[in-house]
Amino acid sequence: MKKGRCGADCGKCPYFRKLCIGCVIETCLVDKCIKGTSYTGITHPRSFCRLRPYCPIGGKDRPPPIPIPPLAGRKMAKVGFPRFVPEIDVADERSWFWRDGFQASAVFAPLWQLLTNEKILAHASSKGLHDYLGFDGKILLSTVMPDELIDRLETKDYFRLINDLKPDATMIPDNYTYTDAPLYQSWSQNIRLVSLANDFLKLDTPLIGLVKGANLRQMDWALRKQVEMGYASFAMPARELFEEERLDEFLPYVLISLKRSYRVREDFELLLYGVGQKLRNYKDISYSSLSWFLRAKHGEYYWDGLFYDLRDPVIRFEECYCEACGGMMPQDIIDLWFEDKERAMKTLAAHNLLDLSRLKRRKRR
Amino acid sequence: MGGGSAVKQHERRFLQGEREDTGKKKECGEAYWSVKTFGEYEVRETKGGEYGLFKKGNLVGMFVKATVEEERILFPLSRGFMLEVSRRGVREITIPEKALLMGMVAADGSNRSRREPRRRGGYRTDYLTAFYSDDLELIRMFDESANRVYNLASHHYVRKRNGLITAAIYSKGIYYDLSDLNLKPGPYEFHAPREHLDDEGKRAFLKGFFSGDGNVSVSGGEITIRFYSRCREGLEELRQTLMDLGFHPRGIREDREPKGKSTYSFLIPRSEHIKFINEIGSYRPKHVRIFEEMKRRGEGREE
Ligand SMILES: [Zn+2]
Ligand SMILES: [Zn+2]
Repeated sequence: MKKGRCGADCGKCPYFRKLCIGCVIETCLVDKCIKGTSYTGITHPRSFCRLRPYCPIGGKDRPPPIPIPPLAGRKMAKVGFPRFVPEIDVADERSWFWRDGFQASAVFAPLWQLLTNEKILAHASSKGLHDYLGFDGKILLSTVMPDELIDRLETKDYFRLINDLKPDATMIPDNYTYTDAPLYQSWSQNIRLVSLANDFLKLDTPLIGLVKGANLRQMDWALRKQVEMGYASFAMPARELFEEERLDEFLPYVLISLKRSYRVREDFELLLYGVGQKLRNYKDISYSSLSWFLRAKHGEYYWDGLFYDLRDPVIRFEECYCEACGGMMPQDIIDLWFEDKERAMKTLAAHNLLDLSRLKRRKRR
Repeated sequence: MGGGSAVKQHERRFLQGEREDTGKKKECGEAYWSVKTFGEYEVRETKGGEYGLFKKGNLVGMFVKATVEEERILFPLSRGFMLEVSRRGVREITIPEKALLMGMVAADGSNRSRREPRRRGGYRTDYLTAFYSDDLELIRMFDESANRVYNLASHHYVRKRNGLITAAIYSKGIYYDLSDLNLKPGPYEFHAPREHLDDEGKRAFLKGFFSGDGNVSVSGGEITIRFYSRCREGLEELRQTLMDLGFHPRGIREDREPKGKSTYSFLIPRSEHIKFINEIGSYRPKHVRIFEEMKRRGEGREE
């Protein structure tokens, strides 16, 4: 008989007894809690524990398993990610860079910002994202959102939103898969992901699959199901893994998994979502994030895909000949900041955008 | 959204996820009753003395401690924040020590980061939060609040030429914390995060700021109390903050300097000097001496 680390009976698991190694996660929060260490907001205070349904002594039953639907299929073309896809803030017009004459072939618009702002949602739904934003390029809808919102949306809600917003492509719905929560939760979430990816085949909108999972097995499984259904463009939400410096544990295997599933490398594309920096070790991967804008708001300047404080002597007196700077150096942006803050911020943001979009390394003078 | 660790996600999003030693368990109970209701918010307490915050019946937060007041309930969060639940809704406010620290950094500090390639590949990021002063007393205040709020100590550097002391903390946590509050959004800029300050926090923030960039001058028996800064927007927010507390600060004045840069300032009217000294004050010893002298004279006049 197989028992999880926390004492839950894995032998009775309705999911993948072979694929799943059982709950042997060292960091399992349920296991830790039973042994005496809890975490505020998750397993503590105990009366409000979020993981109670997965706990063998929690006194609540596990949610019933989600059945895996028979999967349909459809031939899909790639969305065609450029190297850098800027994310924008739909509620902050200063991030709508095309209004200042800068170009990009595609942007990501985050759905959660619309969901938390009724006025903007009503406005954007009534005329579609293209008219609302006044942007001619491709608008890709990002479904990456906080857990509370994920739990609130069903397939029909997504369909209604997508029909109203009319993006040029949309991610399939996001989920949550924590590396330190019981595997039953992350498997349930990943099956939900696949099931929704299957529902989404009914949409006319081009689709972007998601690479998610609490471990490599889960990522690999969800990825292969999406490949079976015909998905060819994938986004991997990677902000957390990147910040926890754990991306290298996962990314090489995701790439292997993808390469195994396709005959030719050109048949699929992968984008790292939420990573505001170029990763030199991984070629041919696209990126997307809002950091070009967020960092500009904080007076931070990108140079060759890395960011610096504007006052940093490393870059402070380096002239930049990008379309935004036209020969200005960071010191000039600091000076401009005193005269016309908005213009300085926008110049800095546009510069950051262009720096992140550059394919070649800069030459230091 | 969740990937990576649930604990880290909670730290990032809710300032929660702290370790608690709760002892080994054989079973897990869950009884509770209602403490207070504010509109759609309800606070429930459990048998074990823990609190849950519910919005329209859904659990949105849980806490080990709470301060229950007539008009509001306060829950301590990490990094010097408190969650205030009242009829007006829910907001995160800072404890006074944190407001003081923010005021000091807004006046004479910096908060910045930079990412650099490592020689052997990969990257590292440096984060710096610093306060600069030639006054040991102020450096001590900064250290004390940093210790109280973040449980961290600063490194000190003294510049030989002019005796300027830098108190520097290298911490990603503090950097992001202050960035999220938009305290120092750009070079030579600051904001007064009024929406995160209750009245006590507002007073502490102003005191911290005034200790750095406040000016008390005596000339010909006339005393002036003046806030000054290069950041007009931030200064206007300080005026607003003072008005929130019942002051009537004068309008902002611009002093042009060569090269087109300007310094801005405003005065506290003379009729409110004693109110200012009693409610706000300063930690700068030079200010404190004058304030004490003024109070003696002011009180003498009233008799
Ligand atoms: Zn477990
Ligand atoms: Zn540039």
